[in-house]
Amino acid sequence: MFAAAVVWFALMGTSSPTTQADFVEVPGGEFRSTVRSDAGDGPRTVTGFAMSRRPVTVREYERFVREQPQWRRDRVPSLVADRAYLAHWHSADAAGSDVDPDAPVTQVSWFAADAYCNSIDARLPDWAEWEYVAAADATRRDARGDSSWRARLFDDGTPRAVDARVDSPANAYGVRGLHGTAWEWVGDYASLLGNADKRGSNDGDRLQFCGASGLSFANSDDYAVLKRVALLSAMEPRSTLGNLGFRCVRSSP
Amino acid sequence: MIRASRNLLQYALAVALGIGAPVVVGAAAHDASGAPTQTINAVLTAPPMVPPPTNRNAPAKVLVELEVIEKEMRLADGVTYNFWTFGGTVPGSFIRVRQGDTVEFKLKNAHDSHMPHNIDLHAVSGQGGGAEATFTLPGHQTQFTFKALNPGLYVYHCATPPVGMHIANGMYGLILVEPPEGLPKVDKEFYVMQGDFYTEGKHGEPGLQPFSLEKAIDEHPTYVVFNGSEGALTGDNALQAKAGETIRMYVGNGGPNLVSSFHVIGEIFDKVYTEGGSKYQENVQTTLVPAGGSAIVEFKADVPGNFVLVDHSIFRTFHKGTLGILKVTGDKNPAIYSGQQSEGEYPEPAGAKAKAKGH
Repeated sequence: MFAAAVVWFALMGTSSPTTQADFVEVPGGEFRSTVRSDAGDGPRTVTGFAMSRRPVTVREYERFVREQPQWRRDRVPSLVADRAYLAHWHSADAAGSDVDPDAPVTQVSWFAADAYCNSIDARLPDWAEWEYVAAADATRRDARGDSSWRARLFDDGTPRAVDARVDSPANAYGVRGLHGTAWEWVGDYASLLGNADKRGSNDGDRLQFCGASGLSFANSDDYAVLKRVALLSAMEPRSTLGNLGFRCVRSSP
Repeated sequence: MIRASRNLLQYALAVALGIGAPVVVGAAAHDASGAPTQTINAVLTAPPMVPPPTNRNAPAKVLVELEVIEKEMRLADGVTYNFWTFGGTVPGSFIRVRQGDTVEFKLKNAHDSHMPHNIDLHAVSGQGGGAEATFTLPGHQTQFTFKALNPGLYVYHCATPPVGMHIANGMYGLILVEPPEGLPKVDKEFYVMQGDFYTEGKHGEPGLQPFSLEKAIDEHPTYVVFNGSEGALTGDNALQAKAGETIRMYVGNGGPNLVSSFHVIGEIFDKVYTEGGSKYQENVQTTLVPAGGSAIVEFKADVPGNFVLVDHSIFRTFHKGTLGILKVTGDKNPAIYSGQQSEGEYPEPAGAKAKAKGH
């Protein structure tokens, strides 16, 4: 543990708690999202960017909370994090021995995730970026046409998830954990509804309705993605969940 | 909330002790707006049990609290499935209210759920049947209130995208809105609900079986069952009655895909409240229960025997699981049904052999 910490500090060299090496370059490309956008459901161009190889861990988030104590659970305003924010941690600035320090951090709000990424000169991925990378399996950059691959993704967000296994390989971009036990925030999750205030608007939230929900998706067969979008669409930016974490990306220079 | 028990013994005990009956939790003076005078905690029951009649001559405010629980349960012998449930069972808890009641509905989503869920009650007049108002994150609860305007037997189900998957995982149940005068008294009431399930493995393939989207879209179920699993209504779980008793079954069909040709072998339904509505048809052999629909069937168990509940789309019954038993005990009544009276060989007609040889 001590040795690992020494290596960690040696690698850092900057004030950033995460090194550049944790990010992998994702080349841009054409991509047809499962979620229909305002521009229609044709292919859209995703510009190249860098994505963290794995979700932000408990250890990393502990460090963030110590450096920016306004994000401790006992100091954070309720406006930006609900009562369950880090509630499972042993203390306000330490997860404690019951929580695996290398596991993805969960029970963090969108505001907190956004602040964390900003603290390492990064940002939350857009949905399109996240979906683009998550379309890959270990060997193919877009495995979505493979029904058996799709079927395995039904377990995303549960202990049975594809990437929950310790020996699960990185995907074709070298990124891990996108289909893990925890869902992941995206920066523009609220725009998945095409509506700034998704609660109480006149036509309501299309995703919440039985009949209309299918209309919002370019590919209504991709249930694994529909589940994820349904989950994200239920969130408010201050919400936290026991199986919702995040990762960060950096725009290419 | 008073939750009626998940097994018959506890249920019987609760009824005997009088705690199975609706409990008045608060009484207020009848105000000028005509608001209900009573507040009542709804009794919710696990299938095949049905809550007791509301037995009220005035509308009330009824509190319903239902928890969504995702859990692995038995689908058939040696086969399990990750069910998503309303109240921990498939079908979900039975809800019973009276026409004119104001129902304050609270939906809880268990902390260990991995998905948001909601509820669309077909008994609700209002957008989405309550679905929009109850979109609920894991570890959260939502509430809305509706007035039970129309009497009838109504399906409820989850309507969170992907809707098909939520229903295919078992998220459906029944809510009965009694007419003001109540339903005619019967001796036994049961809750039977059909559903179709889609697994990656073939019928009977052991182990935890993942959901198959392809089979679901093709409408080729691996299992079609009553009350959430093969054997839910057979063997020790068979429905029990005595000869001479009148029986009412609240029959639902959660689908998601198949319609049911509901039939009880060896019985004729004296009454069928078609599609769960107010009018009844009489003397019916088989009644069609649409996906997302219901029927109330009534009959007298005239004679003892094992009466088999089936979907008379019959290959499902013998190959996919829609089989239940109503075990009726009591004295035989040969005037109605004799049982086998004789058995013997049937003599071949004279000359038949010679004729066959000659050709």
